[in-house]
Amino acid sequence: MSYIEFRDVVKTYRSGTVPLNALDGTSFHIEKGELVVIVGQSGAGKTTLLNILGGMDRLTSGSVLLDGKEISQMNNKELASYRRSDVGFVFQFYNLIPNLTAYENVEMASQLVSDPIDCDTILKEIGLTDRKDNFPAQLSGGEQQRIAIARAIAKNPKLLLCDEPTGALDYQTGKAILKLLQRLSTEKGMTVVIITHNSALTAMADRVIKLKNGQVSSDSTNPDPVSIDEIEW
Amino acid sequence: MTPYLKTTFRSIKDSMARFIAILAIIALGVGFYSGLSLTMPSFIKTGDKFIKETKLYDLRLISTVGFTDDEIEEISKVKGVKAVCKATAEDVIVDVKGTDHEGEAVRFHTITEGVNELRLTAGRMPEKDNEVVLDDYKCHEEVLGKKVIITDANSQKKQGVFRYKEYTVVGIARSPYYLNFQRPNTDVGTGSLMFFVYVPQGGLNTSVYTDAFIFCDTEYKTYSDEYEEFIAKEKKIVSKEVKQIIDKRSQEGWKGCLYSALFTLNSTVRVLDGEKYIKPDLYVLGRDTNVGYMAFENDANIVAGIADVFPVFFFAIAALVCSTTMQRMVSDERTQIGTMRALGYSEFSIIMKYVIYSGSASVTGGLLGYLVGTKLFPFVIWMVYDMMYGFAPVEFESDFGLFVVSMSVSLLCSVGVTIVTALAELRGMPAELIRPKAPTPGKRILLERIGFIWKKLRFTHKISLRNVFRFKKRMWMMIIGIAGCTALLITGFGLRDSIDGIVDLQFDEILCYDISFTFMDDVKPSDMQKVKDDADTHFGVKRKSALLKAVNLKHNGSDAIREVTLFASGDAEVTSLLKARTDGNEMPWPEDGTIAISSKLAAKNGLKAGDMITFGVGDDGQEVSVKIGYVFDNFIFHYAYMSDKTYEEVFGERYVPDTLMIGGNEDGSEDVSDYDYAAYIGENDTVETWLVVNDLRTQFRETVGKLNRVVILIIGCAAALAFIVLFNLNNINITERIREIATVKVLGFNRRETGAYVFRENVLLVLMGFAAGIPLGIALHAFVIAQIEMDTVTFMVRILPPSYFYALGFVILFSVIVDLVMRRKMDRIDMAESLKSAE
Ligand SMILES: Nc1ncnc2c1ncn2[C@@H]1O[C@H](COP(=O)(O)OP(=O)(O)O)[C@@H](O)[C@H]1O
Ligand SMILES: [Mg+2]
Repeated sequence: MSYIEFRDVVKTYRSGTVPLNALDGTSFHIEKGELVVIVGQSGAGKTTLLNILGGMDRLTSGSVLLDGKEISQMNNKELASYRRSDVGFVFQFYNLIPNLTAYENVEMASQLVSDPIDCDTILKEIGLTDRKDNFPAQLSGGEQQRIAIARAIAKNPKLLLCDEPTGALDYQTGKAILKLLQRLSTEKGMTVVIITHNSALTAMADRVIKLKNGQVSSDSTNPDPVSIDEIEW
Repeated sequence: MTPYLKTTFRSIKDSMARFIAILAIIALGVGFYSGLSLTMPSFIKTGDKFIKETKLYDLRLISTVGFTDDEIEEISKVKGVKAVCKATAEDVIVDVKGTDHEGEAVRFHTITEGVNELRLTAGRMPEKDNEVVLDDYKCHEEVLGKKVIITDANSQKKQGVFRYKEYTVVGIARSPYYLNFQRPNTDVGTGSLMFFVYVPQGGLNTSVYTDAFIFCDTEYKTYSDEYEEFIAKEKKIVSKEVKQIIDKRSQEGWKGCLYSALFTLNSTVRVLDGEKYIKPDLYVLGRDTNVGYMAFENDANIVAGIADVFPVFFFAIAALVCSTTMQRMVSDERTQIGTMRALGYSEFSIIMKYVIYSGSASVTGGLLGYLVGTKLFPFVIWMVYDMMYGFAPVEFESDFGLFVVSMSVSLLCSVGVTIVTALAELRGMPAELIRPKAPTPGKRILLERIGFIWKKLRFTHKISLRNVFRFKKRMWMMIIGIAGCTALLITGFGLRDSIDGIVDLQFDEILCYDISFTFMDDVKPSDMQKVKDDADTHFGVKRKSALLKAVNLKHNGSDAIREVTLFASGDAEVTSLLKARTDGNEMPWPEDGTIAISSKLAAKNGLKAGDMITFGVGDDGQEVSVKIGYVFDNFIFHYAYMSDKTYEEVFGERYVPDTLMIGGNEDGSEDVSDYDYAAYIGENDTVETWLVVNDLRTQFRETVGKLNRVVILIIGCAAALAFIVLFNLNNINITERIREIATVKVLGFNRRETGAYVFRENVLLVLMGFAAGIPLGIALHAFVIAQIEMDTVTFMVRILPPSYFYALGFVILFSVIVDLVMRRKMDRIDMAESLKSAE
């Protein structure tokens, strides 16, 4: 059995006039330590997929397993503790707590788990040690996103989920962020899932999942991922 | 519907809690203000209607020689007199056969026509002379058809006044003459009247009608200044004319006149049998000598006093809440405002959206508040008063001016603030507005500079502390809001403390006697003592007692004329029955040459120990001046103490005691009821009247209890206000931080932690607000006490410790409830949804 299993997942939204299947029988699997890139057009269901995988949302039918654990059956309390110990999230809009300093934002996450990664180490790794006492409003977008990543990995999660992490960033900054994510995967062996609508990024992934209308249109492994530095778009 | 209106209505729909909060707070503010403001007018209207319909007398004539039919005929021709009717009253002991009214003292009034008309509540008016109607306030329908029997306990002479031995009850009725629950004292039976009886004139053998009631049928509203003015003039006219009418007869001499009039403490006039021939006297009295009539106005005024202060407070808080809420809404929708600007909507039409929003909330709320408040408050308070009055269902007064004023204030609070806020936001360019406003940046707070404390704090506590100070405006709103509600609650509970204790203090700590007897004029002190000793022997007890002289004096103060009861005594025992305390220290009986006066009399006239005080004695302008020895604490009425020597010196006459005061048993035991003891001594012919202090105590307790219920109503409103404020501020707090809350949820905060993340700072704010509310409450309390002050009753300006706890308890309780509601709201925050967009 793979590390992550998505089996026939259906997610139906009923808020509109007609029920809408954002995910419509999605199935795929991810191995431990892989860097996965999920691509698809806007509205394909990528965010929905990630939210379900991250325990932020519930599915309508099907099942999701992480390391043998059935996520789709968890209650709210179990989901909270799942998010707490197993998942790290990175959003397009960093969502840092505005009144905590960079360091404290990371610290806040690290205090939630029993085996966190040392905050100073992470900040050093992301190269923001000298900005650690700044509040988010005093940081640039790229810096904020790096703090957001630091916050996500401080919990030492099994899984790092990134929803369009470079969506709000310029080319160079975005590249730097992706490089950081790639390093986490290759050096630390963390399982990283990145959502993007930029197909060029597929080259950096161990696995590429293409999503279309809530269904997996292709799922392929990349035996020879290239460094982000070599990708141009 | 245009998209423009659609977005407005959707705004309302999407933020129902906010909309309702504004609506509720305005409704509460307007309701409280207009309701309390109109309570007294409504009461006055109710009283006015009843008084006019039942034709309560405008003037009461008392002649010590009585009125003849010819005289009445002549009086009816006096200018301004619409109707006049002679009347008399007779106190007697009766049984109402077949009921538990047995051996009760009652007052028979003769039925008057065209004035003091009865309002039947059951049965019919008497048609025969041996038929009577009874007091609806004290008797129930069970008495209908029963017989009122003049018992043999009455003297032969008294029985002779009654033409029949038995009277049939044919109806029960309310009399405007007795507006409230109080029934006067009497010289028969236990000294307190149980109820009144109205009988046709032919039912009594009286030949002398000492009273004549005049009804003027004025247009003027009862209790109004116009009425007072009118009646003052009318009184002069009537006095002059009636004097002439009576004087015509006076030439014929006064043979057979056996009446003397005597003013009692509460200014009701009682006619007593006397044994002497006396000079004829004519008294012309207004309604201001009628206990019920005066009490009614007084009680209505109590509410008015409260109505003056509290609503201002309510409005202030309402304004505060509305402004925060609307400000929040406009800021929330700034992107939308920017978009609309970019689309080419004018500033005016954009602002109109918010004006419509807050305007419709406050107009609906205001209307609702006015409609409900002006009915609810008079109605509920009238129910409270029902026990004392209840002569008619309450009439509701309305006041368009008041409505306009309260509406304007609430519109100012909501729409005014909205316009100002929206204009401020609109000043930005569309491009600027479309971009989301940066979230309030974090800042270091002062406490962080105190490293050793800051370092010790748990991480989550640090967040809360910073959050408290991060949203400065909300912090202030919350603190001010909670402080205001706390102040209201403390005031409410404090009022209870101030009011509650005084009756017991007055009758346990100051007037410590249980019964007082007034003797006939020429009874010797040794005989008084003998009467007492005889009672002690009879009951086998030994009760404390003292002999003294009671004199009613008038003090002509700068602000009012006060009736002061002077107790002069040379009895060593007197200090155990009449106590004087200054600042809690027990004082000796005043030294010779000095007088001790009660606190309010001193305070109101700026008098202190060492000053001279001058009293008026009787009606003929005689005055006496005495040096004040000390001022003692006192709560009800005005009193003065002096020694017998001082009395002789000051009044220039021999000191002869006329009053016997009886205290508890000397050994502290309690085996004879005051009533039995009093009744036994009262049997003596030498005793003129007596008073059991317990009656006085009950009477005051009822007055005070009534105030208390009004206070409870206020506490209820304050509590409702506190709740709305808390709810609204919390709602704002959560709404504006949904993203943040979603973020911590994603990070894996569990339910409890998420709750604590938001509410810990609330607890802090609530406690800060509460602390700020304490001094505010103390000040408001003192202010309210000053507002509801009555001349004859002094409230203690005190708030007992439990009151602070109750107030805190309420605030905490509300916080907890709001907390629970808000937790549910937080549970519903959809993480995926909240974090989706940039905004
Ligand atoms: N809360 C929701 N209610 C209704 N429909 C939704 C909701 N969230 C997403 N959708 C719909 O589900 C589909 C997939 O959305 P999403 O997963 O956000 O797509 P992507 O991230 O690939 O752009 C879209 O058609 C979107 O409109
Ligand atoms: Mg998406």
